[in-house]
Amino acid sequence: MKHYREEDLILHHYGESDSPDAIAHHLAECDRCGREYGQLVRVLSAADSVSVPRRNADYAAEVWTRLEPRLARRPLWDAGEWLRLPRLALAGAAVASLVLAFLIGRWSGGPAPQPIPEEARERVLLIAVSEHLERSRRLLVELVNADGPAGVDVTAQQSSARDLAAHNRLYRQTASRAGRDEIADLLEELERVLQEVANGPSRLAFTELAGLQRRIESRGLVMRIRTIKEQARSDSGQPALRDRSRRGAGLEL
Amino acid sequence: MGTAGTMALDQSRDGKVEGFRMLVAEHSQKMFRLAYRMTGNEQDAEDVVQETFFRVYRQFGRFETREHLSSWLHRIASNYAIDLLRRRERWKKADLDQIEQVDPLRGTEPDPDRSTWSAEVRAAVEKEMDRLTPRERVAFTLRHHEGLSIREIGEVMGLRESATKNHIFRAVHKMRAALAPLVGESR
Repeated sequence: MKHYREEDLILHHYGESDSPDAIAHHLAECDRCGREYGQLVRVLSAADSVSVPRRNADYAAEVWTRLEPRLARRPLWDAGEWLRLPRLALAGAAVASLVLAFLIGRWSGGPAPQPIPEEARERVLLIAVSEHLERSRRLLVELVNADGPAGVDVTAQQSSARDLAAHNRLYRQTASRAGRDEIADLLEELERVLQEVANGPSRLAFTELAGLQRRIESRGLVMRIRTIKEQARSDSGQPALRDRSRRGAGLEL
Repeated sequence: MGTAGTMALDQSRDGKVEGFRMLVAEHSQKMFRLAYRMTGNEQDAEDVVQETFFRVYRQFGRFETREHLSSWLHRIASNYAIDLLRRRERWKKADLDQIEQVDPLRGTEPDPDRSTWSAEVRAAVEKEMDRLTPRERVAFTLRHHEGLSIREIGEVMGLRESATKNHIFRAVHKMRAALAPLVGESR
Protein backbone atom coordinates (compact mmCIF):
# COMPACT_ATOMS: atom_id res chain seq x y z
CA MET A 1 0.00 0.00 0.00
CA LYS A 2 1.28 3.43 -0.88
CA HIS A 3 1.48 5.81 2.06
CA TYR A 4 1.29 9.55 1.87
CA ARG A 5 4.13 11.84 2.76
CA GLU A 6 3.90 14.54 5.41
CA GLU A 7 3.83 17.17 2.66
CA ASP A 8 0.76 15.55 1.10
CA LEU A 9 -0.99 15.48 4.45
CA ILE A 10 -0.18 19.14 5.12
CA LEU A 11 -1.63 20.16 1.76
CA HIS A 12 -4.66 17.99 2.45
CA HIS A 13 -5.19 19.61 5.82
CA TYR A 14 -5.15 23.06 4.27
CA GLY A 15 -7.43 22.03 1.44
CA GLU A 16 -4.73 22.43 -1.18
CA SER A 17 -4.21 18.84 -2.22
CA ASP A 18 -4.61 17.87 -5.85
CA SER A 19 -6.31 14.63 -4.89
CA PRO A 20 -8.35 15.24 -1.75
CA ASP A 21 -10.79 12.37 -2.30
CA ALA A 22 -8.03 9.81 -2.75
CA ILE A 23 -6.26 10.98 0.39
CA ALA A 24 -9.45 11.05 2.42
CA HIS A 25 -10.23 7.52 1.30
CA HIS A 26 -6.73 6.35 2.11
CA LEU A 27 -6.80 7.94 5.56
CA ALA A 28 -9.99 6.07 6.32
CA GLU A 29 -8.39 2.79 5.30
CA CYS A 30 -4.80 3.12 6.50
CA ASP A 31 -4.12 3.13 10.25
CA ARG A 32 -0.59 4.37 9.86
CA CYS A 33 -1.47 7.37 7.72
CA GLY A 34 -4.57 7.98 9.82
CA ARG A 35 -2.43 8.22 12.95
CA GLU A 36 0.07 10.45 11.20
CA TYR A 37 -2.66 12.73 10.01
CA GLY A 38 -4.31 12.81 13.43
CA GLN A 39 -1.08 13.88 15.03
CA LEU A 40 -0.49 16.52 12.38
CA VAL A 41 -3.94 17.97 12.98
CA ARG A 42 -3.34 18.07 16.73
CA VAL A 43 -0.03 19.87 16.28
CA LEU A 44 -1.59 22.42 13.99
CA SER A 45 -4.49 22.88 16.40
CA ALA A 46 -1.94 23.49 19.13
CA ALA A 47 -0.56 26.36 17.06
CA ASP A 48 -3.92 28.05 17.58
CA SER A 49 -3.42 28.01 21.33
CA VAL A 50 -1.04 30.95 21.21
CA SER A 51 -2.97 33.98 22.30
CA VAL A 52 -2.72 37.39 20.76
CA PRO A 53 -2.79 40.21 23.32
CA ARG A 54 -6.01 42.02 22.81
CA ARG A 55 -6.00 45.70 21.93
CA ASN A 56 -8.58 47.92 23.50
CA ALA A 57 -11.40 49.62 21.61
CA ASP A 58 -9.34 52.80 21.24
CA TYR A 59 -6.47 51.00 19.58
CA ALA A 60 -7.11 52.42 16.13
CA ALA A 61 -7.11 55.91 17.59
CA GLU A 62 -3.81 55.17 19.32
CA VAL A 63 -2.32 53.94 16.06
CA TRP A 64 -3.55 57.05 14.34
CA THR A 65 -2.14 59.36 17.01
CA ARG A 66 1.32 57.90 16.46
CA LEU A 67 0.96 57.76 12.71
CA GLU A 68 -0.53 61.14 11.88
CA PRO A 69 2.55 63.29 12.58
CA ARG A 70 4.54 61.13 10.17
CA LEU A 71 1.90 61.46 7.45
CA ALA A 72 1.84 65.20 7.83
CA ARG A 73 5.50 65.36 6.96
CA ARG A 74 6.75 65.10 3.44
CA PRO A 75 8.58 61.89 2.57
CA LEU A 76 11.99 61.56 4.14
CA TRP A 77 13.86 61.82 0.91
CA ASP A 78 11.89 64.77 -0.39
CA ALA A 79 12.52 67.60 1.95
CA GLY A 80 13.64 68.79 5.30
CA GLU A 81 10.16 69.10 6.64
CA TRP A 82 10.69 66.06 8.75
CA LEU A 83 10.70 67.85 12.00
CA ARG A 84 9.25 66.29 15.04
CA LEU A 85 6.65 68.69 16.27
CA PRO A 86 8.54 71.55 17.88
CA ARG A 87 6.05 71.75 20.70
CA LEU A 88 6.76 68.13 21.53
CA ALA A 89 10.45 68.85 21.74
CA LEU A 90 9.77 71.82 23.97
CA ALA A 91 7.43 69.78 26.12
CA GLY A 92 10.08 67.08 26.38
CA ALA A 93 12.67 69.61 27.41
CA ALA A 94 10.38 71.08 30.03
CA VAL A 95 9.55 67.67 31.47
CA ALA A 96 13.20 66.66 31.50
CA SER A 97 14.17 69.84 33.29
CA LEU A 98 11.50 69.35 35.92
CA VAL A 99 12.42 65.74 36.41
CA LEU A 100 16.09 66.52 36.73
CA ALA A 101 15.39 69.40 39.09
CA PHE A 102 13.37 67.01 41.17
CA LEU A 103 16.06 64.37 41.08
CA ILE A 104 18.79 66.67 42.24
CA GLY A 105 16.49 68.21 44.83
CA ARG A 106 16.52 71.76 43.61
CA TRP A 107 12.99 72.93 43.89
CA SER A 108 13.12 76.67 43.88
CA GLY A 109 9.66 77.21 45.30
CA GLY A 110 10.48 77.20 49.02
CA PRO A 111 13.28 78.40 51.21
CA ALA A 112 13.75 75.08 52.96
CA PRO A 113 12.96 72.20 50.64
CA GLN A 114 12.12 68.91 52.22
CA PRO A 115 14.52 66.09 51.37
CA ILE A 116 13.12 63.84 48.70
CA PRO A 117 13.06 60.18 49.65
CA GLU A 118 15.58 58.13 47.72
CA GLU A 119 12.91 55.68 46.60
CA ALA A 120 10.80 58.46 45.09
CA ARG A 121 13.78 59.90 43.26
CA GLU A 122 14.64 56.57 41.77
CA ARG A 123 11.06 55.99 40.70
CA VAL A 124 10.91 59.35 38.95
CA LEU A 125 14.22 58.65 37.27
CA LEU A 126 12.99 55.31 35.98
CA ILE A 127 9.74 56.73 34.65
CA ALA A 128 11.54 59.60 32.96
CA VAL A 129 14.21 57.33 31.51
CA SER A 130 11.64 54.90 30.14
CA GLU A 131 9.86 57.78 28.37
CA HIS A 132 13.16 59.08 27.06
CA LEU A 133 14.14 55.64 25.82
CA GLU A 134 10.84 55.25 24.02
CA ARG A 135 11.31 58.57 22.21
CA SER A 136 14.86 57.58 21.31
CA ARG A 137 13.75 54.15 20.18
CA ARG A 138 11.20 55.66 17.82
CA LEU A 139 13.81 57.92 16.33
CA LEU A 140 16.18 55.00 15.76
CA VAL A 141 13.40 52.87 14.27
CA GLU A 142 12.60 55.67 11.83
CA LEU A 143 16.25 55.92 10.86
CA VAL A 144 16.59 52.18 10.46
CA ASN A 145 13.51 52.13 8.26
CA ALA A 146 14.45 55.17 6.22
CA ASP A 147 15.15 54.62 2.59
CA GLY A 148 15.35 56.68 -0.51
CA PRO A 149 16.77 56.19 -3.94
CA ALA A 150 18.95 59.26 -3.77
CA GLY A 151 19.71 59.52 -0.10
CA VAL A 152 17.63 61.05 2.63
CA ASP A 153 17.26 64.40 4.30
CA VAL A 154 17.63 63.95 8.04
CA THR A 155 17.35 67.56 9.10
CA ALA A 156 14.39 66.81 11.31
CA GLN A 157 15.98 63.73 12.86
CA GLN A 158 19.01 65.82 13.64
CA SER A 159 16.84 68.24 15.52
CA SER A 160 15.26 65.40 17.49
CA ALA A 161 18.63 63.76 18.05
CA ARG A 162 20.11 67.01 19.35
CA ASP A 163 17.23 67.40 21.77
CA LEU A 164 17.41 63.79 22.90
CA ALA A 165 21.20 63.86 23.23
CA ALA A 166 21.02 66.83 25.58
CA HIS A 167 18.52 65.05 27.81
CA ASN A 168 20.36 61.80 27.43
CA ARG A 169 23.53 63.24 28.91
CA LEU A 170 21.66 64.41 32.01
CA TYR A 171 19.82 61.13 32.44
CA ARG A 172 23.06 59.21 31.99
CA GLN A 173 24.81 61.22 34.67
CA THR A 174 21.86 60.84 37.02
CA ALA A 175 21.62 57.12 36.37
CA SER A 176 25.32 56.76 37.01
CA ARG A 177 25.08 58.64 40.29
CA ALA A 178 22.13 56.47 41.29
CA GLY A 179 24.19 53.33 40.67
CA ARG A 180 22.05 52.27 37.73
CA ASP A 181 25.04 51.11 35.72
CA GLU A 182 23.08 49.11 33.18
CA ILE A 183 20.95 52.11 32.29
CA ALA A 184 23.95 54.43 32.32
CA ASP A 185 25.89 52.14 29.98
CA LEU A 186 23.01 51.94 27.53
CA LEU A 187 22.52 55.70 27.63
CA GLU A 188 26.20 56.18 26.95
CA GLU A 189 25.97 54.02 23.87
CA LEU A 190 22.76 55.69 22.77
CA GLU A 191 24.37 59.08 23.21
CA ARG A 192 27.10 58.22 20.73
CA VAL A 193 24.51 57.41 18.08
CA LEU A 194 22.44 60.48 18.87
CA GLN A 195 25.55 62.65 18.63
CA GLU A 196 26.49 61.03 15.35
CA VAL A 197 23.09 61.87 13.90
CA ALA A 198 23.00 65.32 15.46
CA ASN A 199 26.45 66.31 14.26
CA GLY A 200 26.45 64.54 10.91
CA PRO A 201 25.39 65.91 7.55
CA SER A 202 21.76 66.87 7.19
CA ARG A 203 21.54 64.91 3.98
CA LEU A 204 22.81 61.36 3.96
CA ALA A 205 23.82 59.61 0.78
CA PHE A 206 22.53 56.10 0.37
CA THR A 207 25.82 54.56 1.54
CA GLU A 208 26.05 56.89 4.53
CA LEU A 209 22.52 56.00 5.56
CA ALA A 210 23.25 52.30 5.14
CA GLY A 211 26.36 52.70 7.30
CA LEU A 212 24.40 54.44 10.05
CA GLN A 213 21.71 51.78 9.90
CA ARG A 214 24.33 49.04 10.14
CA ARG A 215 25.91 50.67 13.17
CA ILE A 216 22.55 50.93 14.92
CA GLU A 217 21.61 47.38 14.06
CA SER A 218 24.94 45.75 14.77
CA ARG A 219 24.77 46.96 18.35
CA GLY A 220 21.25 45.65 18.75
CA LEU A 221 20.51 49.07 20.13
CA VAL A 222 16.81 49.19 19.34
CA MET A 223 16.14 45.90 21.03
CA ARG A 224 18.29 46.71 24.03
CA ILE A 225 16.58 50.06 24.46
CA ARG A 226 13.26 48.33 24.42
CA THR A 227 14.40 45.79 26.97
CA ILE A 228 15.84 48.35 29.38
CA LYS A 229 12.85 50.61 28.85
CA GLU A 230 10.46 47.84 29.84
CA GLN A 231 12.65 46.95 32.78
CA ALA A 232 12.68 50.58 33.91
CA ARG A 233 8.91 50.72 33.60
CA SER A 234 8.57 47.58 35.60
CA ASP A 235 11.00 48.72 38.31
CA SER A 236 9.20 52.02 38.62
CA GLY A 237 5.97 50.20 39.36
CA GLN A 238 4.38 50.91 36.00
CA PRO A 239 2.87 47.92 34.24
CA ALA A 240 4.91 46.44 31.43
CA LEU A 241 3.40 46.71 27.98
CA ARG A 242 2.24 43.13 27.90
CA ASP A 243 0.65 43.23 31.33
CA ARG A 244 -1.05 46.52 30.56
CA SER A 245 -2.61 45.21 27.40
CA ARG A 246 -3.93 42.17 29.17
CA ARG A 247 -5.46 44.00 32.05
CA GLY A 248 -9.20 43.76 31.95
CA ALA A 249 -9.25 42.83 28.33
CA GLY A 250 -8.75 39.11 28.46
CA LEU A 251 -6.99 37.19 25.77
CA GLU A 252 -8.07 36.37 22.34
CA LEU A 253 -7.27 33.16 20.58
CA MET B 1 -13.93 45.02 2.42
CA GLY B 2 -16.95 46.97 3.54
CA THR B 3 -18.35 50.20 2.25
CA ALA B 4 -16.49 52.24 4.81
CA GLY B 5 -13.22 50.68 3.78
CA THR B 6 -13.93 51.32 0.13
CA MET B 7 -14.70 54.94 0.77
CA ALA B 8 -11.67 55.26 2.98
CA LEU B 9 -9.43 53.91 0.29
CA ASP B 10 -10.87 56.07 -2.45
CA GLN B 11 -10.41 59.15 -0.34
CA SER B 12 -6.93 58.11 0.68
CA ARG B 13 -5.84 57.85 -2.91
CA ASP B 14 -6.76 61.47 -3.25
CA GLY B 15 -4.44 62.16 -0.40
CA LYS B 16 -7.18 62.92 2.04
CA VAL B 17 -5.89 62.29 5.50
CA GLU B 18 -9.34 61.81 6.93
CA GLY B 19 -10.00 59.02 4.49
CA PHE B 20 -6.79 57.33 5.45
CA ARG B 21 -7.72 57.62 9.10
CA MET B 22 -10.86 55.60 8.34
CA LEU B 23 -8.77 52.98 6.66
CA VAL B 24 -6.51 52.79 9.71
CA ALA B 25 -9.57 52.57 11.95
CA GLU B 26 -10.89 49.65 9.97
CA HIS B 27 -7.70 47.65 9.73
CA SER B 28 -5.69 48.38 12.88
CA GLN B 29 -6.95 45.50 14.97
CA LYS B 30 -6.53 42.98 12.16
CA MET B 31 -3.09 44.31 11.36
CA PHE B 32 -2.00 43.99 14.96
CA ARG B 33 -3.18 40.39 15.16
CA LEU B 34 -1.34 39.53 11.96
CA ALA B 35 1.78 41.39 13.08
CA TYR B 36 1.78 39.71 16.47
CA ARG B 37 1.43 36.28 14.90
CA MET B 38 4.35 37.02 12.63
CA THR B 39 6.63 38.51 15.28
CA GLY B 40 5.42 36.99 18.54
CA ASN B 41 6.17 40.23 20.32
CA GLU B 42 3.96 43.21 21.14
CA GLN B 43 6.50 45.93 20.58
CA ASP B 44 7.59 44.48 17.26
CA ALA B 45 3.95 44.04 16.28
CA GLU B 46 3.29 47.69 17.06
CA ASP B 47 6.23 48.65 14.88
CA VAL B 48 4.94 46.47 12.05
CA VAL B 49 1.50 48.09 12.28
CA GLN B 50 2.94 51.60 12.26
CA GLU B 51 5.38 50.96 9.46
CA THR B 52 2.83 49.10 7.34
CA PHE B 53 0.34 51.94 7.45
CA PHE B 54 3.08 54.48 6.85
CA ARG B 55 4.28 52.59 3.78
CA VAL B 56 0.73 52.12 2.55
CA TYR B 57 0.25 55.85 2.73
CA ARG B 58 3.48 56.49 0.88
CA GLN B 59 2.85 54.01 -1.88
CA PHE B 60 -0.62 54.78 -3.15
CA GLY B 61 0.80 55.32 -6.58
CA ARG B 62 1.68 51.64 -6.80
CA PHE B 63 -1.74 50.50 -5.74
CA GLU B 64 -4.08 49.45 -8.50
CA THR B 65 -7.53 48.73 -7.13
CA ARG B 66 -9.18 48.50 -3.77
CA GLU B 67 -9.69 44.77 -4.28
CA HIS B 68 -5.96 44.39 -3.80
CA LEU B 69 -5.88 46.23 -0.52
CA SER B 70 -5.89 43.13 1.62
CA SER B 71 -3.05 41.42 -0.20
CA TRP B 72 -1.23 44.72 -0.35
CA LEU B 73 -1.42 45.13 3.41
CA HIS B 74 -0.30 41.53 3.83
CA ARG B 75 2.60 42.09 1.47
CA ILE B 76 3.90 45.20 3.17
CA ALA B 77 3.41 43.81 6.66
CA SER B 78 5.05 40.51 5.71
CA ASN B 79 8.06 42.11 4.11
CA TYR B 80 8.58 44.41 7.02
CA ALA B 81 8.09 41.59 9.53
CA ILE B 82 10.67 39.47 7.70
CA ASP B 83 13.16 42.35 7.81
CA LEU B 84 12.45 42.88 11.45
CA LEU B 85 12.77 39.19 12.33
CA ARG B 86 16.07 39.00 10.46
CA ARG B 87 17.35 41.99 12.40
CA ARG B 88 16.16 40.38 15.59
CA GLU B 89 18.03 37.19 14.73
CA ARG B 90 21.22 39.17 14.23
CA TRP B 91 20.74 40.98 17.51
CA LYS B 92 20.08 37.74 19.31
CA LYS B 93 23.21 36.20 17.91
CA ALA B 94 25.21 39.25 18.88
CA ASP B 95 24.06 39.53 22.44
CA LEU B 96 21.71 36.70 23.20
CA ASP B 97 22.65 35.92 26.77
CA GLN B 98 22.50 39.48 28.01
CA ILE B 99 19.19 40.18 26.34
CA GLU B 100 17.59 36.97 27.45
CA GLN B 101 18.49 37.62 31.04
CA VAL B 102 16.79 40.97 31.26
CA ASP B 103 13.95 40.64 28.79
CA PRO B 104 10.85 41.33 30.88
CA LEU B 105 8.55 40.44 28.01
CA ARG B 106 9.47 36.83 28.60
CA GLY B 107 7.21 37.00 31.62
CA THR B 108 8.97 36.13 34.82
CA GLU B 109 5.93 36.51 37.03
CA PRO B 110 4.23 33.35 38.11
CA ASP B 111 1.36 32.46 35.85
CA PRO B 112 -1.17 30.02 37.21
CA ASP B 113 -1.77 28.64 33.72
CA ARG B 114 1.87 27.68 33.38
CA SER B 115 1.27 24.59 35.40
CA THR B 116 -1.41 23.33 33.08
CA TRP B 117 -0.90 21.22 30.02
CA SER B 118 -2.37 23.82 27.70
CA ALA B 119 0.05 26.44 28.97
CA GLU B 120 2.88 24.02 28.38
CA VAL B 121 1.74 23.50 24.82
CA ARG B 122 1.33 27.21 24.29
CA ALA B 123 4.83 27.89 25.57
CA ALA B 124 6.22 25.16 23.32
CA VAL B 125 4.44 26.61 20.30
CA GLU B 126 5.78 30.08 21.03
CA LYS B 127 9.27 28.69 21.42
CA GLU B 128 9.12 26.78 18.17
CA MET B 129 7.66 29.72 16.31
CA ASP B 130 10.63 31.76 17.51
CA ARG B 131 12.95 29.14 16.10
CA LEU B 132 11.49 29.22 12.62
CA THR B 133 13.27 31.28 10.02
CA PRO B 134 11.59 34.61 9.27
CA ARG B 135 10.22 33.32 5.97
CA GLU B 136 9.00 30.07 7.48
CA ARG B 137 7.25 31.96 10.24
CA VAL B 138 5.59 34.46 7.95
CA ALA B 139 4.55 31.84 5.39
CA PHE B 140 3.13 29.63 8.10
CA THR B 141 1.25 32.54 9.68
CA LEU B 142 -0.27 33.55 6.38
CA ARG B 143 -1.34 29.98 5.64
CA HIS B 144 -2.41 28.81 9.04
CA HIS B 145 -3.76 31.92 10.73
CA GLU B 146 -4.69 34.16 7.84
CA GLY B 147 -6.02 31.40 5.58
CA LEU B 148 -4.25 32.60 2.46
CA SER B 149 -3.72 30.04 -0.26
CA ILE B 150 -0.20 28.98 -1.17
CA ARG B 151 -0.51 30.88 -4.43
CA GLU B 152 -1.55 34.04 -2.59
CA ILE B 153 1.27 33.64 -0.08
CA GLY B 154 3.72 33.30 -2.94
CA GLU B 155 2.44 36.56 -4.38
CA VAL B 156 2.62 38.33 -1.04
CA MET B 157 6.15 37.12 -0.31
CA GLY B 158 7.44 37.25 -3.86
CA LEU B 159 8.20 33.52 -3.96
CA ARG B 160 7.56 30.74 -6.41
CA GLU B 161 4.83 28.34 -5.42
CA SER B 162 7.31 25.52 -4.81
CA ALA B 163 9.43 27.72 -2.55
CA THR B 164 6.33 28.86 -0.68
CA LYS B 165 5.31 25.27 -0.12
CA ASN B 166 8.76 24.39 1.14
CA HIS B 167 8.71 27.16 3.72
CA ILE B 168 5.34 25.97 4.99
CA PHE B 169 6.39 22.32 4.96
CA ARG B 170 9.54 23.06 6.91
CA ALA B 171 7.65 25.17 9.42
CA VAL B 172 5.07 22.47 10.03
CA HIS B 173 7.72 19.77 10.16
CA LYS B 174 9.69 21.65 12.82
CA MET B 175 6.56 22.35 14.83
CA ARG B 176 5.54 18.74 14.60
CA ALA B 177 8.93 17.42 15.66
CA ALA B 178 8.90 19.63 18.73
CA LEU B 179 5.25 19.33 19.68
CA ALA B 180 4.48 15.72 18.91
CA PRO B 181 5.53 14.53 22.36
CA LEU B 182 3.07 16.97 23.89
CA VAL B 183 0.12 16.24 21.65
CA GLY B 184 0.67 12.53 21.11
CA GLU B 185 -1.90 9.83 20.62
CA SER B 186 -3.34 9.98 24.08
CA ARG B 187 -4.44 13.60 23.79
